[in-house]
Amino acid sequence: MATQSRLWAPAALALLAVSGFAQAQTGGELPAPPVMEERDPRYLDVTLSVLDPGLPERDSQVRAAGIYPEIRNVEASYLPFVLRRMMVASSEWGVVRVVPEADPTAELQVYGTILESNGVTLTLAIRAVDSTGREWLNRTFSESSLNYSSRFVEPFTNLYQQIASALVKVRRGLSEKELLSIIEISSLRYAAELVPEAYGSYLAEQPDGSLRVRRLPSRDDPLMARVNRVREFENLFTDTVDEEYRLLQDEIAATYSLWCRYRRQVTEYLQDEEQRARNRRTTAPRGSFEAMRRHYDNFKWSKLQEQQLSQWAEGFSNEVDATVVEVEGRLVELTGDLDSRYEEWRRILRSIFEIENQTP
Amino acid sequence: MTSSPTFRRLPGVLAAALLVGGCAAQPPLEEPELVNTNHSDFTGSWELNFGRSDDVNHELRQLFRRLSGSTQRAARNGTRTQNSGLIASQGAAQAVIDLARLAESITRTQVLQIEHNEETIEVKREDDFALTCGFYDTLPESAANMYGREVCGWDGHQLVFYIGLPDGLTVSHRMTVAPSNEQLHIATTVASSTAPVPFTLNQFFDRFEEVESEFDCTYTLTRQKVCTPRRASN
Repeated sequence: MATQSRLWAPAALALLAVSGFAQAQTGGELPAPPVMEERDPRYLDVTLSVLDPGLPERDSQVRAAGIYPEIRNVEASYLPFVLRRMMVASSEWGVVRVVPEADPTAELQVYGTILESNGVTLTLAIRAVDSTGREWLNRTFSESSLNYSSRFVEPFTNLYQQIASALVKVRRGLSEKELLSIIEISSLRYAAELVPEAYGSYLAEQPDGSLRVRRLPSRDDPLMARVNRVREFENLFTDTVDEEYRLLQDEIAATYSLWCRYRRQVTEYLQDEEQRARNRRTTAPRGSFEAMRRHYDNFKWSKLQEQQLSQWAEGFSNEVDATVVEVEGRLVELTGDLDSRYEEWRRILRSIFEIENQTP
Repeated sequence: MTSSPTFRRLPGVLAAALLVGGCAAQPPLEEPELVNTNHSDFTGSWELNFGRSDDVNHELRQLFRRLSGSTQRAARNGTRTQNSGLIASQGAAQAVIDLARLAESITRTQVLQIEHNEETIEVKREDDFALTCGFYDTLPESAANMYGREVCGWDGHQLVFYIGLPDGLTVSHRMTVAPSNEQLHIATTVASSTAPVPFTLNQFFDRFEEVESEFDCTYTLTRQKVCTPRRASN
């Protein structure tokens, strides 16, 4: 029960904030302006979307590949948090958020797909694109947990480190002007999405598909100030969603770590046994009871290992399913609420734009 | 594993009954042609019916009697039938006995717990791995590792699990449920490229209702089995 109230706290705060906003809105008002701080363009905001779990299309393929879909789905939302932790710890970035869906208006959006995750090997396909459409990264990162001798060290740390470093390397290669442009274009894309009538023509698409600023709104553009306020509120929602994910991560971290350890142990054991089986010499004649029994026992043993792993996977799901369902339910509620608010803000801003542009 | 006294006596007894002829090892049991359409429902708890199930020694004697009879008839008529002369040497007889021993050792399970739904079946066996099959596609499910290959699927109303192992050793379990849904038949056939004929053991299981536990138990990864008292149903 204590856990539940702890989980609910940030969501409740956000909902309170929004309901306050909704009340204010009855008078056709937008949220009060947030305090805007001067931005250092090096510290770009980064949005990490939940990973694509990379599940094969057909259930039979999932089964044949030895993938446990429930665990893979949990990993899809769990693993970006490990990356986020690394990026936040590096102090190289602005706000780093994990969101359920990609946001093309983000200053830097990181997408990923789990290609392999079996406790021993983790392989992720990572793509990072900034708001101008510039591709920062599009490559595969892979790491073996066998490189980690201590079971107390989070496995695959190097993999996340490599991704984080690759992103920093690209950012360091960009000029301050280019970084500023990423921030401006991010802001204009958001504005164009919210009020296309007003800002749809501020950006131009170049032949390579990237975007450039055609013109900028004036510094005291009142509509842009309102758009920025809406964005800040959307960020508040996003942070609440992000907080939900973070709590989910905390809840399942111990179970996931145990699962990885067990899975790694089984994989190592199987590999050792296979090696031993290859090198084993037997005196039992081919076709004898002893030889046949050994063949059957080897197969039986491999099946028992496989089934032990399935039991652990079931134990993992039994343990985390309730939390995942609870968090997902709250996310649906929050995002549903945000979607309806967003539509309302869109409507208000369009009305304002129309009123302001009416010829007297 | 030690042989039962009967198994130890059999080679001598049978070799004496065998006739001289060509010693031909037969190819192992061929992989059956299976489909993946879910038919009967095997769900439930099943216990071995000893009275109806095969006794391995009896089956072995029957097999040898049948084969030697067919060889004798062939010798009398001067013809060769498919099985005549197969059990021609003590080595071939021993190979069949070894198959029978293997069949006996892998069919010791007395209780089966079967969970069967539209997508999968899991046949849990005591002291052995569970036989599992997925019915996701129309094709039979197959899986392989360095120790062997498994194929499962339906052959009419029979569910077949086929296991291919090294040295041409094959094991197949063919499961059929009676129309009354109260009896289950499993024919386990073991064959090898070194034995002249396959060996089959038939087992019959009767459905039984398990005593309902007073606890609801769930397996979890960090706390293992977690049980809570079952609430009385209204």
